[in-house]
Amino acid sequence: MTKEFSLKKKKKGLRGSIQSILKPSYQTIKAVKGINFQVKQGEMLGFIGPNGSGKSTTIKMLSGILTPSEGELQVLGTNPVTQRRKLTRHIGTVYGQKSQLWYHIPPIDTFYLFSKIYEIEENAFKKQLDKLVELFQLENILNVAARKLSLGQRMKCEIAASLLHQPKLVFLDEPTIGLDIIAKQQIREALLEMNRSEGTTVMLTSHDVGDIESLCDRVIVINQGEMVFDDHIDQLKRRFIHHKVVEIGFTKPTVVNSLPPDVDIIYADQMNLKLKVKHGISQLMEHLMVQYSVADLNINEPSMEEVIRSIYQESSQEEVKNA
Amino acid sequence: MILKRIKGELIFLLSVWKLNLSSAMEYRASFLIQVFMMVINNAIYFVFWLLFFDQFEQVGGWALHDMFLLFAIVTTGFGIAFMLFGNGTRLSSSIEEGQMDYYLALPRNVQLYALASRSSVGAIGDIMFGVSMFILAGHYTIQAILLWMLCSLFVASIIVSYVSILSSTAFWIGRASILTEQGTNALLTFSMYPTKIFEGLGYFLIFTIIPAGFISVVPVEIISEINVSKLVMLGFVTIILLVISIIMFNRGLRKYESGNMLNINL
Amino acid sequence: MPNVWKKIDKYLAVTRVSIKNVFAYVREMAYRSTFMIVILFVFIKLWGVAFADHQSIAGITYEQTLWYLVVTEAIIMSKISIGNVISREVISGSLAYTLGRPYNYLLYHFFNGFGESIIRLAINVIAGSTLVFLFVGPPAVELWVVFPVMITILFAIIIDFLITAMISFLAFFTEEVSGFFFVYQKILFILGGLLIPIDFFPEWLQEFSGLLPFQLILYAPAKLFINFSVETFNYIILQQFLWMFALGVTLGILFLLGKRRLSVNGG
Repeated sequence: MTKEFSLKKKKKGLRGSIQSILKPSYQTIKAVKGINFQVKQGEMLGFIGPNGSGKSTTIKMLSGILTPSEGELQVLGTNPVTQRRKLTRHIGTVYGQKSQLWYHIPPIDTFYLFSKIYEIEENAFKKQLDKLVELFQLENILNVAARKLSLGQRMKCEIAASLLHQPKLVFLDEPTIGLDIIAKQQIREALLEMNRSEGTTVMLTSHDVGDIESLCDRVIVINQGEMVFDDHIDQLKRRFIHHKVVEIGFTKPTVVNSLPPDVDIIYADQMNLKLKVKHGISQLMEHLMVQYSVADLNINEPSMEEVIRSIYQESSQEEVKNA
Repeated sequence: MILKRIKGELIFLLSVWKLNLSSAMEYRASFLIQVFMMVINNAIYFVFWLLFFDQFEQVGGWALHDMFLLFAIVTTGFGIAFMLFGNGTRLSSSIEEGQMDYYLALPRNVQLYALASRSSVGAIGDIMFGVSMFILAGHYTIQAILLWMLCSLFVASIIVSYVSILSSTAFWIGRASILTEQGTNALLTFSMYPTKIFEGLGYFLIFTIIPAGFISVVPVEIISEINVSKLVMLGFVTIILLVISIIMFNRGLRKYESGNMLNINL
Repeated sequence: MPNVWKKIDKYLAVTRVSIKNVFAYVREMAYRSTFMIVILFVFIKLWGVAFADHQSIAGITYEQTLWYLVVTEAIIMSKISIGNVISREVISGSLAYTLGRPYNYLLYHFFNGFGESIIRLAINVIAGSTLVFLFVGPPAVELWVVFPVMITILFAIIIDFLITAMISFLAFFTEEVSGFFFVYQKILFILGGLLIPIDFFPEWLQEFSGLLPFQLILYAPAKLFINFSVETFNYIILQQFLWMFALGVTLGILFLLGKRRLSVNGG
């Protein structure tokens, strides 16, 4: 699946402005270059990548908003391009940076409008609404004009709105952007509950690693429009982490002069040592214990954020090489 | 099948309109002021005609009472158009800024919902003014009243189709908000003057690329002459424009490029 | 003396920047001048029919009427539109910060808007004159007349700016001022003589609008252009000066009163 956009280029300065008025030049950019994947029902799939990597474009193509330039796609057995209306009846979408709530009126009114949009039966709607109100704890904010809600309250309403018609598949594009820890936690729990009780498939993009770690079994990493990883989240570490970090505290001031191969010093002073170890941890430990008087020892894996950062950097360096 | 779908869309539109109204009513004072301002606005334009016809008895065969009828049709038509489909004026900028995602993500007719998702409050003032102009125009027969109502609906449909057609060009040319704004203004301007003053190029324009003739002189003649064959013609023109607007919008939608701008439903 | 020059230079710099900024969307402005063409085209037709069996009305010919309308329409489409900016600053209270900057608040807004105003005036005058020229030929005036007319237009823009600023400052006292802007605009349409030369009005309405400043914004420069005389010019300038003085003083008082409220609210 591929998506191209044409972009108007503008040169700098007043002369450039005049030139671009008279004779605009266009440039085609590929936002998404040949992505290919399948999602199982009931899966919770994380979709991560740096800004401008093509995450949102992919989700928009999957939900029928954008037409792909090339390739085939099928969502819930429908073609998003030709059967948009049929598809949208069974999917929910939330864009963290775009609100679907009506600004001047309370969320409950938007919810009723949605019940008309999706032609939900009165009873089914009431039942689902009650469930969502409980799940997202909306009792007190249902009747407050949307403009008066906090960001977290608003986002809970946005997600609830996208679940009113009991979609089989939900696309969440940065649903926790700008939220505090408590709001994030509530939203994560509610999504997990929906997934558990209704088997809702969730596709989620986020810059928050916590979202991905606590929600998703499977992760796709996309960078510069290409898929660079698609597997279980544990594999992400195994695949991309080739080192551990060892921290050592000494009982007395020590100068370390000999180390086994494949060990790099990250930090060193008289009392502390921080090492990056690719393999052979046990040899290293033996070496240290025998040679020096060690008071304290810690072995750490790099954090998820570090892993992801290294993936982004790796593939953007490749891009530079290729160019 | 098709009838059921139309019924479904109508039920949906009704709830959108209800919501638009309650959204506007959140600020009661501002609502009333806007309606009142629009009445004043139209009245001021009419003062121009009072002054004008104070100087001249008639212009191109049209006298003051024809202007009453003209205003009764045009302002009522514009009022209905933008009360029900008030987002028309913003449609082109929504397209060029890539803000159609919201409508596309819903199982609804994108064009209808995008147009109806906002009501112009001032439009209610337009309708009020149009009705009072009709009362002043003095066509007090059942036929005239029915024809006036029917014509106003046709006029409103022509206006909405025209605005939609202009806005849809944004799918191809990118920035079409100025074109839409200027085109809509031109339509309004050409329709608010006695059409009889145009001949040659002007006459050609108002029955082609700026279809002002169909929303001014044609309905005026339909009502003052009780002319049914012209009514049929007007209905025909309305349908053609509606079809063009639907085809253009849906063709364009395939070229739609989404954007990342912040948007909220006001 | 160098101090004064520095001050002048500061505001001229503001105008220069605003002109430069305008160039970023000069194409849009040019497109917007289509409305000038549309409205003048309609007027050419309308007055053409109206004048069909009159040589002149109230001493004004068909050609003169059209050139009159070129001037009034060009001014109304080019006047400084700053009202919403100022009133929003007043209502939101951000005026308190803007006032702290090292320039005179009103002068800044005037010169900032003036840059855009000049460009728009030029575009609209060119668009309008070209069209009218094609239909009725050149105006029956000597070329140098343009310069004194430009002076009256400059003062017209200042008077309009003063009135707009006054309305904006009403926001110190009431939250909703858009209604006042609207009423002012509509008054200009009729009593300013935008759509129809005031000479065509009934006697009583002519006298009434003569007592008000609005006719000095549109009617006076346009009438001077089609029917120039040094006496009329002097008379208009005198009237414009008197009104600028009166409006300036009122504006100053309003500003002082408003500022006091601002410091009370800002506490």
